[in-house]
Amino acid sequence: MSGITRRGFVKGAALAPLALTQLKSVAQRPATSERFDIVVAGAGHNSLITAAYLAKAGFRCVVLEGRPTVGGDVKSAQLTLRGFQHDTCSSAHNGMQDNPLIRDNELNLGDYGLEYIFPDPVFHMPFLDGAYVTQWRDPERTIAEFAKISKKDGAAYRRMWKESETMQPTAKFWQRRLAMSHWEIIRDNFEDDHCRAFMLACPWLQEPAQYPMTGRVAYSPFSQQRHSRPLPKGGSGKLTEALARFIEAHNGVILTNKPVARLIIESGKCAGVECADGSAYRADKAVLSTIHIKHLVDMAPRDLWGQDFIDGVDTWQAECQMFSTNYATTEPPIYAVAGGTLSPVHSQLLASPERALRFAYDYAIRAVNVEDPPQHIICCTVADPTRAPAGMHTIKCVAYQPYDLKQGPEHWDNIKEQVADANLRYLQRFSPNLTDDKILERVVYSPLDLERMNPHNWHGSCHGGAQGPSQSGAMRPMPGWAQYRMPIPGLYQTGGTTAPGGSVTGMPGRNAATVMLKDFGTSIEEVLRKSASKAS
Amino acid sequence: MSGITRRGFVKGAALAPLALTPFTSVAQQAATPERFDIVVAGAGHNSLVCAAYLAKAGYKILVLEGRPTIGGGCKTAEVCMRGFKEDLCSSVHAGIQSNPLLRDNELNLRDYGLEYIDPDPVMYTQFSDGSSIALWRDLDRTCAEYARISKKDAETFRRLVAEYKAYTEAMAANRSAAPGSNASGGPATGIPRGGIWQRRLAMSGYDLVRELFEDDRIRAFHLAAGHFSAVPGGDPGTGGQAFSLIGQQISGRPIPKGGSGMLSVALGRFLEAHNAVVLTNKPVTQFMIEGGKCVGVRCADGSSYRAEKAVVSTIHIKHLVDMAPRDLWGEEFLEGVRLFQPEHAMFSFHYATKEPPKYPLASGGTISTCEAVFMSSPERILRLSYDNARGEVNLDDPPPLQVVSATVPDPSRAPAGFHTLKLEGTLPYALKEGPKHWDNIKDDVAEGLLNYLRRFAPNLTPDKILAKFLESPLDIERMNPAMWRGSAHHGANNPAQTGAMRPVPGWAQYRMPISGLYQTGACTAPGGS
Repeated sequence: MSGITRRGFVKGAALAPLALTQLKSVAQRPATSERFDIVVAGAGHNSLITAAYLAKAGFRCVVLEGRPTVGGDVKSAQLTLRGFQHDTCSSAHNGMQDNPLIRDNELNLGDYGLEYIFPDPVFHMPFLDGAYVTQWRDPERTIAEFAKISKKDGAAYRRMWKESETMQPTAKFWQRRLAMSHWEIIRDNFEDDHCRAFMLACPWLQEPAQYPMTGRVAYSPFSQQRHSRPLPKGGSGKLTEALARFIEAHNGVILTNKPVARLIIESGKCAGVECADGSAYRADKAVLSTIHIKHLVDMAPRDLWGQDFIDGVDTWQAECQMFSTNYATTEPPIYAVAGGTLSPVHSQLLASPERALRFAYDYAIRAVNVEDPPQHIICCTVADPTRAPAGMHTIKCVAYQPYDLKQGPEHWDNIKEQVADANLRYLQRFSPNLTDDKILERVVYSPLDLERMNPHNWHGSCHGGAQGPSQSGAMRPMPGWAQYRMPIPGLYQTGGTTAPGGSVTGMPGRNAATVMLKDFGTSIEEVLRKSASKAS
Repeated sequence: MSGITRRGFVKGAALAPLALTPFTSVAQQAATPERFDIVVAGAGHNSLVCAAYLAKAGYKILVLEGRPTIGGGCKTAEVCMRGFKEDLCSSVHAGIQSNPLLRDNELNLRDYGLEYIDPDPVMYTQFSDGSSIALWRDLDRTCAEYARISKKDAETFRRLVAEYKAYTEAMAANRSAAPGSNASGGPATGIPRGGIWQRRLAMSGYDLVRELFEDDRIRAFHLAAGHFSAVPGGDPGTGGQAFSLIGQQISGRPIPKGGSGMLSVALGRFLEAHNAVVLTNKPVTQFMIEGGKCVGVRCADGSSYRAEKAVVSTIHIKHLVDMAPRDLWGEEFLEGVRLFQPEHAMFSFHYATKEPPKYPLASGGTISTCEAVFMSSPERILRLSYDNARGEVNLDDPPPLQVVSATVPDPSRAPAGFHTLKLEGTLPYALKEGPKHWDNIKDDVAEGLLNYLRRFAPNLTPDKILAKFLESPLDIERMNPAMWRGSAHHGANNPAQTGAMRPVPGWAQYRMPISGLYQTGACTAPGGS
């Protein structure tokens, strides 16, 4: 049985400020004597999902996490004040809802404490001219909001909502649309700049909207229309906590403060890992990594990877980075709407459609542009009061700024507070109630801090790296190695650097489990079938 | 035999200012009772090439051109002053050299007056700090130029020339193999470093030059020369632009002696010599449909021409769909045409001068080259989409500027001692104030860009300029309706509009939805240029 009690673990995962490392005692315990089938290097939501399926299949897993708590970018902690539970990176779990893990409840994570809240309204966009667009769970109500601004755009929303239900990449109708740019599709379907701004900004910024092959993103507002932007009750980290509980309940071991430093290679095969503290863990069957590929290649002799793979890692590009500020407040954002006010969980500030087209250039010139800074405002406590003391709130402001600055990334430490101030001043123009006296505490994460927080956020890339055509599908992480098998036998890869990429979808994790179970002579279907028959 | 004499035709095609219409008489006279197998609507270089092969096959061809002279984007005329032959759109014929038409000399166009000149230096650039790079036909000489700026980049350039040759030859030898893909999804067998090529070509030119080269001037040079395709080098899938100068180093940038239009002229001569008729001032306005089949065309002047075998169109698809009843095209085709996007529009400013640009060299003296390109920094390329979306002409830091002085290697294009000069690049067609606003600003824009060039070629003082002829993006469209919204290549050549999706998914095989109607030109694969 695991050397870590559930209570101790949950305490660690759920409550520990990142700085604390109260699991040390546990971590120090040399687990080297024990035998494991699978050694998992890194505990993000994807690798935990893979480990959970493998554990369910009866393989003995040890999960080694370098940080004091598991979760990677799916983690919640008291970043500001005691009692204020902040999401350290991700908050909404849209993509997850289409994953069989949740959709078909394959691992019954509900029994391990995972519960989703589906906010309504889903998304809100205020504008300085007093106009606003609100997306409600009821599509007709959303369409009415668009129609109120432009009848044509209300019809466009309805048309694209219908189209989105038939998305079929091979159909002639979709071939060109999916290859077009997000911007072209929105510009040609919507006439009003408020509606265009909503359709451009409501999806998370990944690739700049004017780039070809981003057409699919133009339809992602309809995935929200379908699923809302679901929040795990208690915090984004509740997903990874539930997975960790599941793994422990299935004879797995989870150790924190165990950064993996090196892969153990024996006769060309990956046989285990060695941690920074010198402890070693051997895997009888395989090693699963969620270490960023830029670091992974340094953990084994270069020649073992092969030139094509090294080339692929060398040409790997970072994404458009985020700049995140977490607030503990006495009030949520309050936006004026017809006949009253609105305090949504998710709101977005974007001055104009063109402002969104500016990102690629600003990132390239390594300029911090705080002119009308576009921001995604997330106030989970509106829908989930358990995250803060009664009547109090957590607010996360996610803006977009380059990791690399003319003066170098370290310069972020000098300017991040001013940048956060500029973002707040802009937010206050939309939500004037958020005066400075309503703010109890704040913690700022520059793109550099995001990398410090989680080394997988290479160059601030919380999705592992850009998700454009050269780093998608069969090319993620590298042409020829998109099947979760790495060039070194016995080594598998999951996480944001594998297909379909970053964001809380759990698909890289479940896909990796599918591939590994196949290689181990079984299949995910068989594993689930067996457990189902056992249950009945 | 055709009702048009070769002398009259050649004179028209090669020498006529656009304003003149030397064939009017011919055109009138030729509302012919003659029968034709093939009627060709539009006389750009692609439809002329298509017609030439069909004529050689023995089919009776009629080519109808709406303008006074044939050639479309491959046309030369005396638009500034008599005796100064200006290329109205294209100048360099690099791509066509690997076309079997020329590579294997399939139609012996040399016998019809087509002759190529191979300029050396091939390309040139210069920066505000005075540093410059010339690309010579001789690799060692080019590498020496690169080495003056960065030894590392010079070595990289030499290595990439070899790598690119190996890759393109392997691809040519093994066309079935897409780079980076084999049955098992691994790198293509037989393609050296196939995996990395797949990644490179899917990347943006901007990201790739930053990976390949260390010096920003060399990065800017490669991106600026890569922008001739009008696809912004920040877009994914433009990785090939990082190799623009590698390709130029290997193949050069040939120009036809006497002007770009000499290719069209030679094709016109070939057609006449093969029993075809070429008529100008005959804009096609409508297709004749019988029993759901395309059986001929009607022209603006009311004349109509029947085709017994087929009609070949090089009309832009945005106009094409208006020339037959909508329902005949089918919803999927119309939808594809609706979604078809323009490219970053071209401007083309022409001058008759007393001198070519003389670029001062740090080593002393000056150099004059057939082509040059100027862009201040690699990042400038990423500004293009933003300015284009906002309809802004941004000359504070001008967009990549291509300069062509064809008279440097080809003195036959101007009176002895005189020169032609062309400034081209991309600027938004849809200005904030609307496209018509171009008529108000084009003189100022041209002067701004000429002054920008003067920073690098101070000899081009106003007294050296004898005359000018300015084509704004709007004028480009007026001059050639197939250049829809100033799209010199008929539309963005990006992932949504390339290969099997050009012009429309399902109709990339040059057959149109209406039987008997075929389509060629830049709207069809592999696109314009």
